[in-house]
Amino acid sequence: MRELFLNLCRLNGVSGFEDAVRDAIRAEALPYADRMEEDPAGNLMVFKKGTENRGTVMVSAHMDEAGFLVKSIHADGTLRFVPVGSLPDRVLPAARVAVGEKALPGVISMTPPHMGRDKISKPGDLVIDIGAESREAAEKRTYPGDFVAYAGEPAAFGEGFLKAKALDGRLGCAILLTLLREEMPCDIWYVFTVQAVIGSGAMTAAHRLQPDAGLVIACTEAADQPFVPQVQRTCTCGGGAVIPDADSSTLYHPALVCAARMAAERAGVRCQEPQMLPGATDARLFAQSGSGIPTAAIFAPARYLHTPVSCVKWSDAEAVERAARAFLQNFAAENR
Amino acid sequence: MHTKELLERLCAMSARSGREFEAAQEVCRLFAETCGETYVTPMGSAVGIRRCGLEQAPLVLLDAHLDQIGYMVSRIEDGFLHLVPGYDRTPLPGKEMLVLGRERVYGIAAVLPPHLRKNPDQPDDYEQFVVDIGCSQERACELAAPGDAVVYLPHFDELDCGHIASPSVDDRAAVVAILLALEQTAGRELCVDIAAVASSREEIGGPGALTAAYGLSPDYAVALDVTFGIQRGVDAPDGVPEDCGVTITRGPHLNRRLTETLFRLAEEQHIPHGVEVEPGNTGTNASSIRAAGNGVAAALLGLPMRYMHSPAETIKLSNIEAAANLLTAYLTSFPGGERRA
Repeated sequence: MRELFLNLCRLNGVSGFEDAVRDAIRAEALPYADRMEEDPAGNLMVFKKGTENRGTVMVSAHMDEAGFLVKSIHADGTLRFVPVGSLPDRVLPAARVAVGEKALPGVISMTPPHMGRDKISKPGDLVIDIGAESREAAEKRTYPGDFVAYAGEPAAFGEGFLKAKALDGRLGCAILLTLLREEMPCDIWYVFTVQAVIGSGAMTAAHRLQPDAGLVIACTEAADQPFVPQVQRTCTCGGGAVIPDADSSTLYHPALVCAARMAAERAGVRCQEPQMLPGATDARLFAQSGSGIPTAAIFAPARYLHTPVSCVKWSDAEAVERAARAFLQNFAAENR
Repeated sequence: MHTKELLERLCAMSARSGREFEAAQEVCRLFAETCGETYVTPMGSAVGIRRCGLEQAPLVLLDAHLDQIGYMVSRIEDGFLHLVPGYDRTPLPGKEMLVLGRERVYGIAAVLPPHLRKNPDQPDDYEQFVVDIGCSQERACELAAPGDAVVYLPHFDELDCGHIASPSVDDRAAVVAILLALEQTAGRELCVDIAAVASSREEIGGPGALTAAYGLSPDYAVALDVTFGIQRGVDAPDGVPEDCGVTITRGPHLNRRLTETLFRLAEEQHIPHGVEVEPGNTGTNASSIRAAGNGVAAALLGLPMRYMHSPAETIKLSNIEAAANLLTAYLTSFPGGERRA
């Protein structure tokens, strides 16, 4: 799963431009799927028939990542840009980026500190520099509306950590693709969603499938660094899978949360159980779809989400995989 | 020319001010390809000397600094490395770092989660500039210690129109210009001795170049450093246009005859060049070297660069070649038989 995960992180899939990620996932899923569908929004839905008649679960992960769009091209060949998704603007000065489908290398500008404190770059003043020396030269490489992703190869560091851009969604995708290879008692729709970081893509998939339950697999910001006061810490990297009661956009279904925690416990998976996570997830779109889909979520604790250097401890990723497997193996629609 | 390959090799080195010794040894190996004598000074500058064979030939010192900006570990807390307050930290959050400790350790400059930022305009607190090496306190203390140097992880991005973006272009690009000039003049009958210096500690005031120059007692010195190209947030006249080529600086710290010789050679040989004016201390090694020993006639060449002191320092390769061509023009301009004044 680790190689699959890293390969998915290497692909660029800014919200609305998930094609490369979807193509890779489709190819990976094909040998194990009983059925595949794609909706007009671009969500990829992969069906796997269960071995018993225990109802249908929708398990989702998002394919997209935070990034930027080219807004316009300046006369000097630099690119004005806008962020896609909420990302910490402090990471922008001098960040490395990849522009468009060809992943042209570029950097974000930074006013040199010698020019004085008052001139130090504010996000609105920054531009992307692809080296082009005129508007005409830049127009041969890109266009307004083109997408821009963070650049940088995945790396392993420290005591079992992995760093990669886009890992918040791709970890879930890799876990789903791993579970898809296994037989489960319930019917499962593995759903790879679009536009999660701008909070909109998954609703049509939920509407189409109307399963008995929904399970979202993603990453959450642990906020466990020494500069974060104890009361603001969410969870701990290295502490295992995170099965919370709620995120900032929705309260999860209590019975499902309980089932997920119990299944994990019985399977011997290390878990953390914070009450509420910061940030919204696809769970809100599922919970509010149609007459409402009971939804829970399992997260990997992670750091620096929506930056070029997101990181996760691999033992936590494996804990999420095992917790999700335990949930699906124990799921029965009538029990909720 | 293999300008790009040389720059890639030099930008792969990590040499924060005061921690240049390993890089200096590698630069000595590069100097040794065209210089008969090489050594590292006690302060960590790399020196390569090539004699022309004439008795009492003048000695020209070519200087570019080897060190790069960086940070220093102050203490270790919960496995995270705090940094000594001081240098500008604007570009730090979310960058890949390299800790030059007992081992080379990969790290990430931490980012405050956006949901914990109360006010977007609030300046960052020093406490949140920590380097995350993904380790427990125990392991972190085995790998790193207060005082260790921290630099941006080397990378080398080729942008459009012959541009390179890399964390240590300041001033490795100028070291490349010197290496190219050494190559261009190798095997030619010169009437001048050359001392190539990749100096240490420029970013903390220039003692590396000062002490190297003292040891060499050159007659002339040409220092090369990056300068501010016009860029986002830097307009003319604070910045120079990138397409001007190599810049030559006029000012009281710089020897007028040597400076005007460089202008004349650039004109004669059609080397693209621009002019900069510096009314006092140039803020470069030219100002250190001029005061070495009994004094040295010094000139300053500049390479226009964008995003100085960030991990995205961006330069145009052809400007490095223009600087090399001007150095070659200067070295070959000494007439045969000229003797020290």
